[in-house]
Amino acid sequence: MKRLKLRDLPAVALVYLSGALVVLVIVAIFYYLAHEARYAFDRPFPYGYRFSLQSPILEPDPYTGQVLDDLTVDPNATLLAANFEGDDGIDEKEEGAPMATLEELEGYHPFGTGSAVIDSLDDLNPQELFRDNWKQAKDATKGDRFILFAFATQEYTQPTMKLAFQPDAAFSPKDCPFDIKLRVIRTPNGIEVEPVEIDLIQNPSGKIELPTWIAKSDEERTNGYVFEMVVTPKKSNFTATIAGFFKTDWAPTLQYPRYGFVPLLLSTMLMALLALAIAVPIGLACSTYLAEIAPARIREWLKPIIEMLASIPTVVLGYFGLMIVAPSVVKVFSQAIGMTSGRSFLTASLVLAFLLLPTVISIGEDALRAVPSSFRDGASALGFTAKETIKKVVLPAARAGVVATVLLGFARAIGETMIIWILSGGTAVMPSIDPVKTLAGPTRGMTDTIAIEMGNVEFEGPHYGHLFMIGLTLFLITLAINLIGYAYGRKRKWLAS
Amino acid sequence: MASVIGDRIPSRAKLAARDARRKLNSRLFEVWLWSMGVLITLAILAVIVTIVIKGLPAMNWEFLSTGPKEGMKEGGIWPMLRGSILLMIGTLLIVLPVGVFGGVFLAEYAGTSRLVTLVRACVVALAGTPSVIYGLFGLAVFVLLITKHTSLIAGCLTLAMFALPVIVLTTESAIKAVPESFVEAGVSLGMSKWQVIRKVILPAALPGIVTGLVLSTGRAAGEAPPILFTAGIYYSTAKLTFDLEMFKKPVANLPYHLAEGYRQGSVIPEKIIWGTCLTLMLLVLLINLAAIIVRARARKRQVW
Amino acid sequence: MVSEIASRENIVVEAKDVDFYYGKNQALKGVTIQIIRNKVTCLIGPSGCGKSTFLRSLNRMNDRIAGARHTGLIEIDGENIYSRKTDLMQLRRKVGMVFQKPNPFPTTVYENIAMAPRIHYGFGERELNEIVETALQKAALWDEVKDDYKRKHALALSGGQQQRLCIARTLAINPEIILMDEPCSALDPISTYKIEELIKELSGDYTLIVVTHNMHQAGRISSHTAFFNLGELVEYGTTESIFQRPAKRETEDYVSGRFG
Repeated sequence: MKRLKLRDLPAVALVYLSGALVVLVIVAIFYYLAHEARYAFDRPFPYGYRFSLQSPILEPDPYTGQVLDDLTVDPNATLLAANFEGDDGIDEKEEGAPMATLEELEGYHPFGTGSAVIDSLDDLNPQELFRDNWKQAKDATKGDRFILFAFATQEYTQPTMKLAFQPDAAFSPKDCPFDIKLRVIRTPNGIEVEPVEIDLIQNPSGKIELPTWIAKSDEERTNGYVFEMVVTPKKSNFTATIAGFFKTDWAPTLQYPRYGFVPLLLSTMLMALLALAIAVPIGLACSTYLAEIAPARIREWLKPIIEMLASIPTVVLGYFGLMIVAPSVVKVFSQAIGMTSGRSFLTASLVLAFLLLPTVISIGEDALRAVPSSFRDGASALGFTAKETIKKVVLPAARAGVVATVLLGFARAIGETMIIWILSGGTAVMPSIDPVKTLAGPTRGMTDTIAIEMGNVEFEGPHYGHLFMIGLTLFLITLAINLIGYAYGRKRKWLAS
Repeated sequence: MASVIGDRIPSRAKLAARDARRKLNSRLFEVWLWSMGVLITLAILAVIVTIVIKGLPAMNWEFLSTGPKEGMKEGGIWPMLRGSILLMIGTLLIVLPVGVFGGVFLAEYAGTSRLVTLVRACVVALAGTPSVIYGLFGLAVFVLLITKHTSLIAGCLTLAMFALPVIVLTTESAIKAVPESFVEAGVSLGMSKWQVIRKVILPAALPGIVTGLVLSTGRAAGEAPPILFTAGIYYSTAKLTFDLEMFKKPVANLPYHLAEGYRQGSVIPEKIIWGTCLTLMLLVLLINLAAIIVRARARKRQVW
Repeated sequence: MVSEIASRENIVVEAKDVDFYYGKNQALKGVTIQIIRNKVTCLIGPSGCGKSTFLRSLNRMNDRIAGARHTGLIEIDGENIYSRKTDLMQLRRKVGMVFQKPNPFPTTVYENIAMAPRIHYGFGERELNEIVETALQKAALWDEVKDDYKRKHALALSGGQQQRLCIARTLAINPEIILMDEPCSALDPISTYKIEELIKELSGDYTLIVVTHNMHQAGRISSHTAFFNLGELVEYGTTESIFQRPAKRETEDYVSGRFG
């Protein structure tokens, strides 16, 4: 072949450029998914505890008649928190509830708790006392300190009182990357108590019994017991984010967001496996029929029809599943497994299995066709029946190709978005050990979570970053499966000779 | 010398019974395979026929040629259909040179080194990468990094990336299917490598290349996730003006319309959704049909 | 043609006036031949002369080709093998076949041989062990693989060994006739020599019908030779007579190397 001619150069350069571009695309996808996933690591970690004084003998509330032990419904409880509600910190508090005065408490509540927006008691300004203290959610590497005042009013008659504490609703201390300690830093004049230090992560709720101290005037409110809640970092933001990512709870829009993607991962995998378990036997049977048994004339009819399925957009197939398959699934299974909505794990898997058929059939048929016909001749000359030829000779010879078929089908299944979106029911839950419960219930996978939530997130925020983390994980999983599948597909044992 | 099996051979009657059992077994197996083939084909036909039957009542010229009315309770889907066609044409224009040259690179210039095997494996893996990943990439790069908002051009670029690997692979295999003798003939006429490619290989491989191009563009046209975050708006009633601004604006299109329709619940009447589904399916199906015809005609002409 | 040597019970295969077509192409024209039991018969002739087609019609391998049909009569042991009553499974057990390119199944040496007797006769492990060993010995492969034939992958064998494995595989279904379609054409000279020796060895117990391209090979291994040209059986007789005293000009031209 002649060497490169000068006037060919532009075209040849273009060819090389395109080749380079293809390589670049792979690198770019990886790079940008990782690049955007970094916003996940800017994630602030929220926390919050409620505190309230109680009598050792709990009495029914004079108004509601209920014994108030749950602090989240106690209107007088103090919330010390770093979360997203008080995004702009101080301003929020100016409009927030001031620390209760004795007058306000009179007649219905014999205790008061509150906080000041300060770091040290020396800065105390009696004008700026609030019931709650909100701060912005923090980076895992930044600590914080809260101060809590507690006093009883003159109406209180018991010799002791108890400071009750519990985590704010939806806050789960074990997911928190901080050490949080509650200490008594000052006792009122004349009262001595044992030093109190409580690890709020280990013991997130409980009560501390204290000798009663009564504030006689509003000025005295801050002279009683003073506690501090000290928050110290114990992990880097990176490890804390990663640890949070591998938790089993996906609730990104809560005040205390949780980004545990394990339920999404498991649901995706299980749905894909169930779909494969249905599609592979049926699909391989069909490809065996096409490759080994069907006369050419019939094959020419069947193949375009099967390929036609591949050209139904998944949005359309999803709608078909929703309107036609889901009601039938409910009808068939409502009695057996107590299914109430057709949008469920089972429906999504069934439609997914249907979607996989053309993939499985066409790759499977290729795998079988790649088996040299000399094997079939040999089997036939030995007097094997069609079944024996297929089962003992052709399928074992095509084993690598069949493995490739299953792997590529799996990658296709876990990457499918619209069908899962429309049919899974959209609830992120850990798959239950009880298979009936899992099958009948709603679920949610990785792809549909990305597709649904990306429409509502703040771009370049932590939620956005976490969606990219899921995307990156999905990309790496499918990349690995596809590469292994490709390697298997190329493997042709009989070429070894 | 005695035979290999010798006197171990079963009696005639036993053997005959065994043979009969094996034949029956095999027959049943064949029937089972056959029934799976038929079952799948019938199921697929049933799905397609159902969509056609459900979609037909909404289908008429007005439905295809006008915009939605009364908050999508009535009217047609022309702006969405138009958007899908625009996206498809844009995708095709972008992916055509890159995909075809990329395929030529892999088939003719890359050689067979380990690195190239790896590149090829990566292209195969990209072809199997979920479309939602391309959507994320498009959002990060074409939307947030470059244009700062969703747009037709961002959608086309994202869809082009999604379609690219398949086109590279089909182009490569179409080129590899051109017989070596053609190439030798070209070389013997004193052509340079590129001339051989342009004058001999590409024309011979053209039907295969076109088929691959059309099929994967068709598939891209029906795919929702890549355009969810890059190009789509729920619906549009606006008239289209053909100018540069068009590319910078997001565009309503069928897959996004349907996806958003599900998200928002029962805004659009069922009949119209079915009609939209049918339109989208027919759009993709017609494109594929074009590919099948190209392939069939090429096969008839093919002499090697 | 061969009446001088063929007594009735010595004839195992008898073809009368066989025409064979692939679609519109006629591959065999009026072939009539009688093949002698427990001898080696070689079918020779230039490419496309129909010798392979004739061979493959003896165990009905041609049935697998769409559009193949024939007229005339082919009998094995006096039974028409194309009659409606013919049991294909039985026929294939009786008439084994070895192909041009060695085609062992992609599994172990042991499985290659054991598979068919297990399927056909339902033998158990103990019997199969004996059968595999005997078959390997008869195919002169035993000494080379006896240490690891249960583990060794068949495709790890050399080409010649693979071909002998295919012969062993055929022996294990207990055939009376073995058809060989150019069994040495893909092999080197030493492997070819081994296979030829093996063919001679087997000829006492089996009827071997061997298609070959190589006239010298026919001369070395066969007792009878049939010369095909353009779908017709031109001449058939003892190998000696075909090579030394050919009756027809065409045969003489071919065996002396003037064409083909």
